[in-house]
Amino acid sequence: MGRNLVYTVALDPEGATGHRNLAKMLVSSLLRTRFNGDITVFHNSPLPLFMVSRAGVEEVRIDTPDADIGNGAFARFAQSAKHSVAGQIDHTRYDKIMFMDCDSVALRNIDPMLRGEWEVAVFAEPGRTIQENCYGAYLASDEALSLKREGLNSGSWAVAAPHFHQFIGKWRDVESKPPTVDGWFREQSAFNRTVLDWAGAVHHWPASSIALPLCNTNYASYRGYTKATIVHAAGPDGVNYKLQFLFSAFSGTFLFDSQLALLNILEM
Amino acid sequence: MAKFLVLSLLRTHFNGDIVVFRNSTAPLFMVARAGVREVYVQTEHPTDEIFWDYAQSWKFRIRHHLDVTGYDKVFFLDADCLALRSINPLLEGDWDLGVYPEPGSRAGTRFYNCFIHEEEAAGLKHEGINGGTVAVRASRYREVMEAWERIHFGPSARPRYFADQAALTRLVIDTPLRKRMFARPDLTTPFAFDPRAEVYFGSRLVHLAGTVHFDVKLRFIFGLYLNTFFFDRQATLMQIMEV
Repeated sequence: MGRNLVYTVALDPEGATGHRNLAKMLVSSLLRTRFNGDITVFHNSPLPLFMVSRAGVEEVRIDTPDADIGNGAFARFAQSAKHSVAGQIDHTRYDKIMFMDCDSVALRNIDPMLRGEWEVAVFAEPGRTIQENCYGAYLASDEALSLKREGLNSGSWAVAAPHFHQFIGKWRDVESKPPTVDGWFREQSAFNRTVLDWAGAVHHWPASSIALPLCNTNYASYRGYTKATIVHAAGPDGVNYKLQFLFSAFSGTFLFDSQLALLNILEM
Repeated sequence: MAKFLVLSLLRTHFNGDIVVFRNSTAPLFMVARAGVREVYVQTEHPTDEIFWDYAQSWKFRIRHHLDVTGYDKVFFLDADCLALRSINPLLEGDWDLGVYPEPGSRAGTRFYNCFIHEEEAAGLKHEGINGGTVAVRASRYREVMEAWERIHFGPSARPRYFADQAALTRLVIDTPLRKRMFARPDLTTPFAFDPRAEVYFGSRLVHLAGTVHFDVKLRFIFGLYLNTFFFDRQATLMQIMEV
């Protein structure tokens, strides 16, 4: 098996640090769970995530539009960055390339998720239908009526490296066209359309691999989401709430020991 | 877990005194905290299952070690509780007995019913009372604890199960005392009735009733403690730990 890449994007309005800190927690969790590939973080923070560089981690600074431009343009830019930054990735160095939203934390090693003979790997949200407004803005009229699929989350996916730019190109192509329904989640809907039309092998990660505790009641309980490989704090909550929530998952996983060493240092 | 609880009470500015009864010879705090007293109690060494029941019975037996003179209210909290906000408002008001009815539960069912006969259980509308969070007006403290113990060690209508909680449920059903019922968002139970983070993050007091897995509770409470008291938007602790 060749080397794999995980990349993420962390873009904050000027002066804010929420996504930057989320990305740092994600990268730390990947390193602590011994992910054996490379990690690239695209961010717009003036400061690096890590003062002491980590082996295998590359930080790429990108320019972003002014958050004051309004009409949600900054948010749309940030959402679409997951495919717009792809041109800066050299796919020839890798076997598989995985994208993870920065509001995710790896609780366990993700290497097994990247094994296998497939072109695209995706995560279908349990109990959510593709006709919902999070996924279905690019469905044809007959699909909107009768297609029986679960909606795919565009915050965690992987592509076999030789197909990476083709996949990204198709996704960008779909998203550039007007959706059949206005006001729905365009970027993720375009992702769903792209996967629906993908002719090659599509692998579905099992429901236990990724937990979405803030937007899917199937994963709401602590015991539910802490069994997953990845916890993804997708949902409408604010970035600081997500950061606080994931901080507990991160600290409970990586800073905890049964003697409570950290607590006893902090609270002598 | 008791250390987490005490620290959380202090950090949320509980304005009363705290007493921890423990059978650990080592103190919880190497540096003693003002307003916190640790009392060592010697315990017996029965087998695990009996020890659990025995440990639960200390909730009311402890009265022999506790002088409540001068206090307004006395609040017993299971060690697997964590205060996320000040609990002072929970103790305000003119009432004698504060308890937590488990949402949607029925006193006639398994976790509460060993002191309730079958005929009574069938038509009983009362909710089951959690045995881990009980507040009592100090002047009534001994009387309530004695009644709780009397029921607990008295005849049971069916095989004994969660006897301390069942005895408290019986007491609450029968008592003429003025009651204060705790409910969310005052008190939540993430492992039982309030699994969603957005619900229990907003509560004053979290109680980890609903699982007997100690390691799971400890890990959960560690994460919740850190994200309540060591989290800030700059994620300072993480920046220190992960330079």
